[in-house]
Amino acid sequence: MIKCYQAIVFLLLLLSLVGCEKKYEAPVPSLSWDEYNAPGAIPLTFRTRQAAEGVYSVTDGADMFGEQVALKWSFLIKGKDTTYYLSAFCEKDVSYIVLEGKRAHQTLYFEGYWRKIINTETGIVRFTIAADKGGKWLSADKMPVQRDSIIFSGVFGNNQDLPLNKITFKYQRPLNLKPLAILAHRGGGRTSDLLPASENSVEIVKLASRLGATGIEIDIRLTKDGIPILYHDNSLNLRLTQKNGLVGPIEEYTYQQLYTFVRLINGERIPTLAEVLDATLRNTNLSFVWLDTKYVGSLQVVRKIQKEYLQKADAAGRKLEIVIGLPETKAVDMYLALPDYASAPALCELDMETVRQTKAQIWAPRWTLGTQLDAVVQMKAEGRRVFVWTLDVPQYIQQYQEEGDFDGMLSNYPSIVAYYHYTQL
Amino acid sequence: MKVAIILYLIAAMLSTSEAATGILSDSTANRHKARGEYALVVYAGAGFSYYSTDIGIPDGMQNVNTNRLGFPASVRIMWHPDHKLRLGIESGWTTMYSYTSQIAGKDAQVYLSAVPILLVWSMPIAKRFHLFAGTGTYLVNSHLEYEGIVNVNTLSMGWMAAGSYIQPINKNLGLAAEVKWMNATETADANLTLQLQLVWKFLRW
Repeated sequence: MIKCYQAIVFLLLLLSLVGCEKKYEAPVPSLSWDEYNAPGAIPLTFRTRQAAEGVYSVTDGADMFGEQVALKWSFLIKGKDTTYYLSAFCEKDVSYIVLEGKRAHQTLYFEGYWRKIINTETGIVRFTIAADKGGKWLSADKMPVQRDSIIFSGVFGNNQDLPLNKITFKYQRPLNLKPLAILAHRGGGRTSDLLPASENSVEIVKLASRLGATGIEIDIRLTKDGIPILYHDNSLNLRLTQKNGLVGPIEEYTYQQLYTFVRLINGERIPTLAEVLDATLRNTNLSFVWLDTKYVGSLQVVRKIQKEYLQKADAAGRKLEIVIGLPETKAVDMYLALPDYASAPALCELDMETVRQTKAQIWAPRWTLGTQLDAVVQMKAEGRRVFVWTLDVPQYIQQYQEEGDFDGMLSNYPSIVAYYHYTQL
Repeated sequence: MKVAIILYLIAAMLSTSEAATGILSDSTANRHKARGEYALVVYAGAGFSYYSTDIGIPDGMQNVNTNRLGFPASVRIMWHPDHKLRLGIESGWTTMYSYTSQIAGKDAQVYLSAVPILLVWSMPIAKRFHLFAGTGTYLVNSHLEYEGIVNVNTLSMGWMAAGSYIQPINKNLGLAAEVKWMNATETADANLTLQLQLVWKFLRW
């Protein structure tokens, strides 16, 4: 009897080692709403889209999404087609809604999904703006603007379930349009937050605007053959990549080897810096790219690509800033070794003296140093902008927006930065 | 459960062994002494392994040929006190898996192996039957041949669990058959091994 007990306990000990690791997922639900896909439904015009933006009160569904939301459009260009997305940035549980819109007669239809970034909750959401709730004048070309009458009436559900829970947004006021660079960490968000695209991929960069970002921060490393790529960690691992048999420092592999064998968690390839800047320029309306250099070596190749894409943006009449991030003294040394460093746009995370030494146009202090109002004023007086990083706690994001004087804010949760910014009175 | 395990382990540490036999036994005569015999025992063996989890092969590969079989070897040194719970360390080498393929007409090969470095504890559960469990790290080696050769290592936390039958040959020597599960958790690599081992009690005091 005792032996049996011993064996059982020993097996339990083994089981405690093995454990069961729960796999978390938050897949974007597939959408199929007959009214939205009706043959007569047509895309929304610029005027309609512009007029629908604003701060709305949540009269149904506040327990799920909070008391108010900020509605803001973004777009994605695919070849000759442009897709417009209406994002709703919500306070409750750092949630957001991404919608596409169409119009049939005098009714507007919106279909999309919602997601809470602090957990895995997601689901389908559908809205209509009826003719008598703003749809009539939103559909017309020349009727006077009556935003106060806009009411989004809709339903939402969980996961792939049929949406049955009532949700209603009522127009309150315009968005706060005071400039603020809303920068998304790792190209748009972290893989660990179960977004539909992997961090530091072309796909997440294309998603970033829908999450509230106006710019991105990306992590740059060099392959063995000297090609700048996007990858955060210093080694290939299962946090960021699918299993493939390759391990160890990413710098040990050539770009061709990584391209052939490595897929990011959501199946994407590790992109080159050039691919990401190309997508940023051609496919998105993002206006700022922060190149966070994660390697030690020459910055020449990064500078060359930065210069090339700044010229391309200029030629395309596109407002796009690309800055080289200087997170530590080694990066500063690398930067100062560039023959044309004085003309290479840069962002320095170190002290103010180093910012002056590098002639960086942007100072980016760590958020834990506080709002540093005096220092911020001083830097601004010298013609610089100040971006704070990396703020993820909603309470601090709100506090830093209300009490600080920053020109930009880096976060893993751009949607909550967008919420506090656009709803600020 | 963890509290129960800890309590049990403490109890095991405090109780003298009665279950083991052969070269690994603690003489029942020792029960009446202040302290029984202590010994250091080495387990050295080799055998076969079978890679037992998914092999991640990227898309776009042609003529893929996978090999899950390997020939592992291991060395373990255990301290056998006069109690049931024994402690030791283990290392060795094991193949995880390999695959060959063609990509756009070019040959490619990936070969993954690991060196475990584990803290091990064991317990006799019946006559000549012993359980082993270990935790620690695996030095995982990846060897790629495609557009050049890359040979790199990384550390992965991991564990192992094993069951052995030990047939005594004489007072100090035995022959064991062991089934073992090796798991490098961080890299999600695991294999099942079957080994023949020489068990040698090389020091006693």
